[in-house]
Amino acid sequence: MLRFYVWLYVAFLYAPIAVITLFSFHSSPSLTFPFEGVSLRWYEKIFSDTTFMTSLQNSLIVGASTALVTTVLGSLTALGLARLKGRIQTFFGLLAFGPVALPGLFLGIALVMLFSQMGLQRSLLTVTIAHVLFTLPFFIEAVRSRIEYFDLSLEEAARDLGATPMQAFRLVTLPIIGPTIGGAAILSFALSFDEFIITVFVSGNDTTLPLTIWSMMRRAVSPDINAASVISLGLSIGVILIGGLLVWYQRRTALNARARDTQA
Amino acid sequence: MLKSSRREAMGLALATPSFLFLLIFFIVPTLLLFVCSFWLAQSFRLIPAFTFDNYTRALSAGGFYALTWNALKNGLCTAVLTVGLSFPAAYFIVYRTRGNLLFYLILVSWFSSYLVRIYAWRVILGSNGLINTTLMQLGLISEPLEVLLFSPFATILTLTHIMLPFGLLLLVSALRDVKTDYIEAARDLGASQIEVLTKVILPMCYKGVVGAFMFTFVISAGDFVTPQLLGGRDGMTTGILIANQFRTAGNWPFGAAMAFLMLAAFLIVYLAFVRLLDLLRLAPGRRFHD
Amino acid sequence: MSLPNIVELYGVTKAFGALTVLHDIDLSIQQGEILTLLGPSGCGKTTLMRLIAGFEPTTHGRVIIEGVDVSNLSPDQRPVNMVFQRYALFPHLDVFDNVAFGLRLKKWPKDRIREAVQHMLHLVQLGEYGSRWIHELSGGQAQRVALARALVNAPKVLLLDEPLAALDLKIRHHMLAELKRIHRETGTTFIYVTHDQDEATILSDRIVLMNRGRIEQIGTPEEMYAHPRSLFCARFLGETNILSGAVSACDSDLTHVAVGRGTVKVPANGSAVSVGQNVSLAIRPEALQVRRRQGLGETTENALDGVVEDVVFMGSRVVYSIRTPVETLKFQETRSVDGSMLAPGEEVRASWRPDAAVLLTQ
Repeated sequence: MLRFYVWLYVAFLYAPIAVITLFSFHSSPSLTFPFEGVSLRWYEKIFSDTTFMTSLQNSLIVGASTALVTTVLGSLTALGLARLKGRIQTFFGLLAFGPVALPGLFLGIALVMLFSQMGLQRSLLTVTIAHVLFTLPFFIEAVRSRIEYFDLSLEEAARDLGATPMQAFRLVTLPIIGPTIGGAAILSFALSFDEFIITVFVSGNDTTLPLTIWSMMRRAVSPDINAASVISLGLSIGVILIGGLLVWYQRRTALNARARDTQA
Repeated sequence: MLKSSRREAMGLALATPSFLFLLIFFIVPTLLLFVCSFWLAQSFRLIPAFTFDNYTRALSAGGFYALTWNALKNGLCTAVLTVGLSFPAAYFIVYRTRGNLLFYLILVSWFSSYLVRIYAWRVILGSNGLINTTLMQLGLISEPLEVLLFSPFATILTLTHIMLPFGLLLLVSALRDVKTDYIEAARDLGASQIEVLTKVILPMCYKGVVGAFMFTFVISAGDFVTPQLLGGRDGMTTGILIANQFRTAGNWPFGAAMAFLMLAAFLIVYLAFVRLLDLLRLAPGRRFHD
Repeated sequence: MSLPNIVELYGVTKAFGALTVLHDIDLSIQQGEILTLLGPSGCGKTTLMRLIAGFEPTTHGRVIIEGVDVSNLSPDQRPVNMVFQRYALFPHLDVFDNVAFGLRLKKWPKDRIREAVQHMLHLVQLGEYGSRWIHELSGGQAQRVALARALVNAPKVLLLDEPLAALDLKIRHHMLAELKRIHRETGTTFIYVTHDQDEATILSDRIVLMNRGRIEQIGTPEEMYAHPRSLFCARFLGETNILSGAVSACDSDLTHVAVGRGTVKVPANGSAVSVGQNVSLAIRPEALQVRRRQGLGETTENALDGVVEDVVFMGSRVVYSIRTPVETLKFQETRSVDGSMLAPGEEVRASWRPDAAVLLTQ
């Protein structure tokens, strides 16, 4: 019973995505059944659309920069939080979670207000700042449980055995928390790649992929938006899958290596 | 002692860059927005002042209440549906499966872009959409059901679809804290499966359920894109109104004031929700004896 | 003693997929006894207990409690209660409400619950702790609450799953005495799972020693110690010296075993052995007699000559390692009143009476 329900739940989640994907390969502009035939014409159309291609490129740039900045800031914070105790830790934990506890709309208008008062032109830079603000809480949450589980006495043991703080980090801490950080970095990329609500306020003339899809949606419904959607879906889901597989593979090889060592 | 204080100093140093970032781009803008809600705008220019005009203007407009109610309704319905639909799935994943494949399968759909999902539902629900044409081809209806699209129904359906995976994630991590030991102990003491759920699991994952509910509520009540694209004229919300102040009409102080009123409304809902659970005797931390 | 059986297991087998963790177990548990399931980790003792509690269904076989087949009943329908290894006390309830949990499910009236819970809290010496939260308790206190929570339901059998594993040594000894007292005062049948032989010997009326999903031996602690039936049993319960050799002759009542260059005579005990068969001999360290060799004649019967290698002083006892050509023997004696001990390097002879050794064929 419950099993059947869960599969229904999964089907509900994927059905709309499946419909869009199916019709992106439709040879006619019609978005209804019967299905008349398969063609790649909408993909050809969208790939020759310079607005689309530029926004795709912008999204990749913003996503990569966001992931980079978030990873640096977030890893430092998570490592810091593990060393803090009591009120400071609680306060900082709450502060770091703040940006996602508020609606995206709120962050968007607050940031646009700040940028205009600072006299900062809206551009991909402001978009990246907004995205870091949005992804940082997710990053910290994702990494934190792993780092709290990580025993600080391991680092101290390394120090006791003669490692410098940097060596202790490189030889002990990083190998243990590395896969988690990698996974969280990919998570940040995917979140940034799909972000729309805040972006719509803080972007300038350079648009990102969701903004382009948005403007396509506001025009008449044209079938090439299906293709654009599928490309966007494919990229973010693909990145998440690759990230997941990498983390999984790394953990597995680490486990196997350990098993081999103990057997020998 | 010395060692632990050195460790804390190191911790503070590591956390400082993020703290500065959050200070400049989160705390300062929030305060700025708050201050600005007391300013005035004249022909797109902000004039620093200290007036409650923006607040009184919003609160005296009859429409504001209707739009806020719409937003809260979207949020409440979505939150109830998301938590209600996800809890059984989360329960299944935590207690009835060994691997994580199903869990990951659901999580991955979280990353199927927000806008694309709104668009997909428009394709499915529209008057020339999949459901209507199929029903018409089957001869069940003679005219498209207009109520499917551009209605609060479409907004809530889509928001629920968007929120489900994340709601599930929060519920799964809450349920994982309720180890099977506790469930077995309760079973051993004579509790039926239902009693285990109401007397052990729910009280123990209370925080997670409240968290998932509030998170879903805030995000979906504050969302302006879905109601704008799918909600129709009756589905207008405060969120759309606020967004418009910042994108087209241009009265920023007025928009800021409305944003804080919206947050206040959220806070009231939160307090009411917690009070309700308290009254229903679902909140933990209560003694059952004197 | 022939008390009625409260729990009976017939042909109980448990498999997880291709892995069989319990093989065809038959076991009877008597009314009012403390029975310990003892064995190394992975021997199946915890699984066996969980089968009795109803957390796992049996693959084959039947579980009978008080004459009723409960094999198909869920845990809440079985008249047994359990003390969990990590206690599993509900963190959202205080001590009183934890203990009252089972009675409330049975819809007892309020005042009877209060009475029963207070009585039980007094029994475990936590009368004043009813309003404490679980996280405010020490390990020993949590253990007592877990006991009270199970016992208040007046179970036919109380199941205890390594209940002392999480406690430190001092509290553990104290809790063992407490468990015995509570058992005496309630008269409830206890089934106790542990991997610790000391706990098992101190606590049990009978021990069920398990290994690889099978019952190795059942008996009182004294029987098990004095008459182990297998090498595994001899090694698992207490220290023991094992000598291996081949049977050289069989008398009517003594079996002769060739060990090294000497001969060991051991009571035949009815075990069927044939000349030439390889066997083991188990001799407890305290059953040896060790004397300085100086001035003793030659002998090769039930004796081994050797050198004291190591002396460990343990308060009331002294433990020696004696290296002989065959095996290094452990020898243990109570400290003599004048405090005289053998010294490392002394040449000694270890000997023993024939009935001090146990002949083991497996």
